Amino acid sequence: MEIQKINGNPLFIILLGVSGSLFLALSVIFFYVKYHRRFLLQKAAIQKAELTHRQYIVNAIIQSQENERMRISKDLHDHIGSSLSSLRFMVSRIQKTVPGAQGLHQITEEYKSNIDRIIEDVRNISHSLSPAGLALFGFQDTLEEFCEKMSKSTGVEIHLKDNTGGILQQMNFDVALSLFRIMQELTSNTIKHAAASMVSITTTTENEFIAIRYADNGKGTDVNIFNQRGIGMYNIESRLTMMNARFEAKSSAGAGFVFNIWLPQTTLDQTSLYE
Amino acid sequence: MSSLSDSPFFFMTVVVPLSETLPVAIAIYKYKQFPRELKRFAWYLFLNCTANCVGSILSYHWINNLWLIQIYAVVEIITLSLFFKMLLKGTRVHKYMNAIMVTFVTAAVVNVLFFQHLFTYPGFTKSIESILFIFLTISYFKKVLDHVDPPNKTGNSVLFINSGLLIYFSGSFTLFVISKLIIINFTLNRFVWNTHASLLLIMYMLFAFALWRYKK
Repeated sequence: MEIQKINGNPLFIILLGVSGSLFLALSVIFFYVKYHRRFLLQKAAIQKAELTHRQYIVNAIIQSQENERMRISKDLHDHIGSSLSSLRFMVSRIQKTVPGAQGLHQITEEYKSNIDRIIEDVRNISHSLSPAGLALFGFQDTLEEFCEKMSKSTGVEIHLKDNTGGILQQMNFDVALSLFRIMQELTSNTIKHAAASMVSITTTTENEFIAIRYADNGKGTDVNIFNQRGIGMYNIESRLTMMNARFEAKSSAGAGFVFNIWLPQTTLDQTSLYE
Repeated sequence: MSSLSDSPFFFMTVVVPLSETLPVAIAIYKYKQFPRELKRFAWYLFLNCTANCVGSILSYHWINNLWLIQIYAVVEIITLSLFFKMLLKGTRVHKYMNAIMVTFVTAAVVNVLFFQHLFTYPGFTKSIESILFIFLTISYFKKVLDHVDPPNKTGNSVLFINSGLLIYFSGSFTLFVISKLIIINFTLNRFVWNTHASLLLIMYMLFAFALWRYKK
């Protein structure tokens, strides 16, 4: 009976045929869209996992680098430094043991001044490998000391201005060390490549961020430094990513170089950056 | 006195053909920005629009325009196949595109010569054309799914064009198959061709959207 009814109604059959074909077409499109979306989501998840893994490796490299630097710095300070001090003491004893020998006194004085110079060099190397002042005096004071030294040794004026009200002094050692390394790298780049006569480092608070502005008056560059970055710039980027910081570099030929960092204040309290 | 809008064929003879001016206008406006694939598709649209215009003029003057549909069916197979040939580059189907084109055009010509002569509706040609383009549109979806990278701007527009073609040809397939049978029944005839016009409208709107959303 039902079959007969269908047979007797061509409109219904046509409608059924068109609907069936349309349904198939729409199903194909629906499955395509669904499958494709899932595929893209999976791809995004894989990319994210790869990025996290890469960041994890970079963190591990930076951490082991810092640990190694600290160990070498400690060895230099404790062993070589103390060995040199005892050598200086022995030379003084020779002076005291053979008094009145004019020629010997002159030679031992030369020895002593050479040893003093080596002790000073070793201390400098040790401090640059692991800035001991960071743990003792905090970021701002250590950076000030570093800037003073760099100004003296290179002739480039480095001005430091802190408008954060001492927040930077209280930050965690890992964060302080990372920021200090970034400032070291930027200063070193300016001295090596920029032919600048002046550098200014300004720190301020902007809402929930600490804004750090590094600027030099050097020759600048038209090249995008993030596209053609070396190891130094790569390290800066990795460290800033570790600290969840936003950053930008501005430069053009003849107009100097500016590097802006916005560091979330919550990062300052983080116990470790490397986890 | 009945106006044109009261005509049972108003939707299929006026509204739908006019709706094609939208994708055509967008194609003309943005033609210079288009990549090669969309330029080729724009040419299909221009030819389609021209055929529709000529067909409408002939029908307005009560002149049989079925010969135009016969000829245009062949032109459509060639232009759309060339468009898909470009899209399916790098797939197995691409290797056989020339053979596919020759086969289907030959079938259309054989149909005119021996079965459905020039002044009748080419139901057979349109049916096999539907099968061809259902196959090619699904092949394009498969190609995109097999590809690792997400589609680019051109690919995104082409996906909407492809969807429009798939909806139109699969929906119309049944209509083309039974077109010979319903020619004698006025009500059925009107229903079938209004349904066909609705599918065309959907397709044109998808074309318009696809071309409009393309940005260089």
